Amino acid sequence: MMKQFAIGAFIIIAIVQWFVPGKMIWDKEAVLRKGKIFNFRTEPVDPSHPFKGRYIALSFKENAFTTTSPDSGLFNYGDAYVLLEKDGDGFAKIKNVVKQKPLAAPDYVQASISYIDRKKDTAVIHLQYPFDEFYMDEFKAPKAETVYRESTRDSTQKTYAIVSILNGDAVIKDVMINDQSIRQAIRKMDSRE
Amino acid sequence: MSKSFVKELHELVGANIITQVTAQEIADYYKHREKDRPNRFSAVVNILGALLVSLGIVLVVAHNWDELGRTAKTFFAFLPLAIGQGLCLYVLLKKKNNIAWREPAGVILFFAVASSISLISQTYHISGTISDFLLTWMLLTIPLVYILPSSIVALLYIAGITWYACATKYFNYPDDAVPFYYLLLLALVIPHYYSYLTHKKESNFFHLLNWLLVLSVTIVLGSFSGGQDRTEWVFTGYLALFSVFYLLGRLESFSNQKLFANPFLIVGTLGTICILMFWSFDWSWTDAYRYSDIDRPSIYFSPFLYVTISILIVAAWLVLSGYRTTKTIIFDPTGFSGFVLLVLLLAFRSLPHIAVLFINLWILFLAVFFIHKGALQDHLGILNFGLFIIATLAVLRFFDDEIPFIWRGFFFLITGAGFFAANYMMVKKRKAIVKK
Repeated sequence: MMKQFAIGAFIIIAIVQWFVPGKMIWDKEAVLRKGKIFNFRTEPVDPSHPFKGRYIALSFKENAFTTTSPDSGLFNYGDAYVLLEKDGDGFAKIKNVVKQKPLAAPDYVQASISYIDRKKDTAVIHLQYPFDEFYMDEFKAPKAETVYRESTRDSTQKTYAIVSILNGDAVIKDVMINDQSIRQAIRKMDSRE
Repeated sequence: MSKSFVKELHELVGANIITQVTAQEIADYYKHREKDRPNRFSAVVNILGALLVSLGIVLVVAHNWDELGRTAKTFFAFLPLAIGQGLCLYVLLKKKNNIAWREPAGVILFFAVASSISLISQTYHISGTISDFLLTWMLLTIPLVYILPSSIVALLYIAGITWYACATKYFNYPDDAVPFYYLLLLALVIPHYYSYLTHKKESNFFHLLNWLLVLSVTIVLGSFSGGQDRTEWVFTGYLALFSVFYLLGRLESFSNQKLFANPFLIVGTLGTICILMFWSFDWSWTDAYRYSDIDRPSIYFSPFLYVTISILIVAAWLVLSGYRTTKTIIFDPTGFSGFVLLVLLLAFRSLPHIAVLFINLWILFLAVFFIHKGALQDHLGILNFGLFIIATLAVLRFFDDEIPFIWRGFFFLITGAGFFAANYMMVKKRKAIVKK
């Protein structure tokens, strides 16, 4: 009886152990397949996570929003919804930041408010996106930073992240340097060496 | 059974100390006992092997295999999980009572869950803090402690939740988050601990559980203090915790164990002495007094003060329940140190010199208590510990400019004389016992 109970309980926990990573995959696959693509201008550096390995920490240029009629709810730190649109060059631009989940707006992403700079009639809301880590091969990640630095010497070059967005969730598809994947840029750098 | 033991038995039979029948019975008893006892060596080797292999998998996963596509990465994310679960299921069906299988299988599944979440997080570039990662990992693996059941997973789990609390508070900026979930996570392992306390008190796993729990709670307590909390209450909170540890260590369940198997007593005693030594300095009290009136209007506006009082209530309950069972209060001052510091901070904050005097006298009192206890039990270790406390106090006071040279001089003379007297009395007592 006890053994059967233990096996039953183990099967349940085994299913949960599959469900949690499975749900992660399911949700992110849906965002990649059905999501709308936005390009976010970036500024990468490479730290590491003890389990997930090396990644490029992305700092986005479009990470603050100035509001002239601050929604009082926004003055509480925590989660917020960032409504997005595209600017003239096709890069992501913040249209508005709201505290409640938007029902009508098609393109939005859930982010957290990291800092609010209060002024007399306005407030600058600084945001942290849930897609600021781009994981790479441990040997390539440090090179990615070098490639990025080289690209910033030339002001005509652009670095940005391609992000797929669906129902507030987001997945980074790639990080681009001058319309070329950062992985390709590293390969080119390796072949030059 | 070792060859030398068999030889010894033959010798005893040869010398007519035991009969051949008794020798056979002794040999049978040990043979039977060896059969019942699980193979400890192979269990330890398997556990270490499983730990190393699992950590290796975690590191290989962390390399980030860019060459693999999403499908291949997903396959490799679930592969260790499937292997770990397969092993655990096999253990449940066939090897439930074999520790050499059960514990390593638990270890492999424990780390397989981590590598699975890591690989998927890499594949989809999912951002997240290390605390969120640890929280998910620990919640997904705690059932193994009860289902398999696995003690090594319980130990790894305690280490994991300690890391979670540290990552949430100490390794995080800004450090305003409080790891409240730690309390819930800790509560989840308590039934396992209780089953060891009631049934397997002599087991090595129980000693390891005790050590990890004591260290974990000691490390994490400070993470419950915030910007509103005053340093002195954090110290008092720790002293209260060490008082609780000390009182627990003196309970029958632990006091009968060997000293190394009683972390409550070791950490409780050493922690208490260290904190009291800190408060034996004049500047600790003058700083506490100075900052109390500048920073905050009231000393009571500190949530940690109430955490401290709650821990002291536990200490008081331990003292009272000890009294109820033995019907006498054996006055051991060490466990009361938390109360003493709290009362001094509340009553003598504005009179730092008096508070310093009291704390120094209290430390001396503790030292004398240990010397007296050591002498009564004829235990040189305890007696020397008391002398060590006095010696440390003497060294600290030697450099204390606040005390006039003349007082320091007298203190040293009395302490030195005390050492000679204690040694003389102990030697005399031992000689008297030898003569009898």
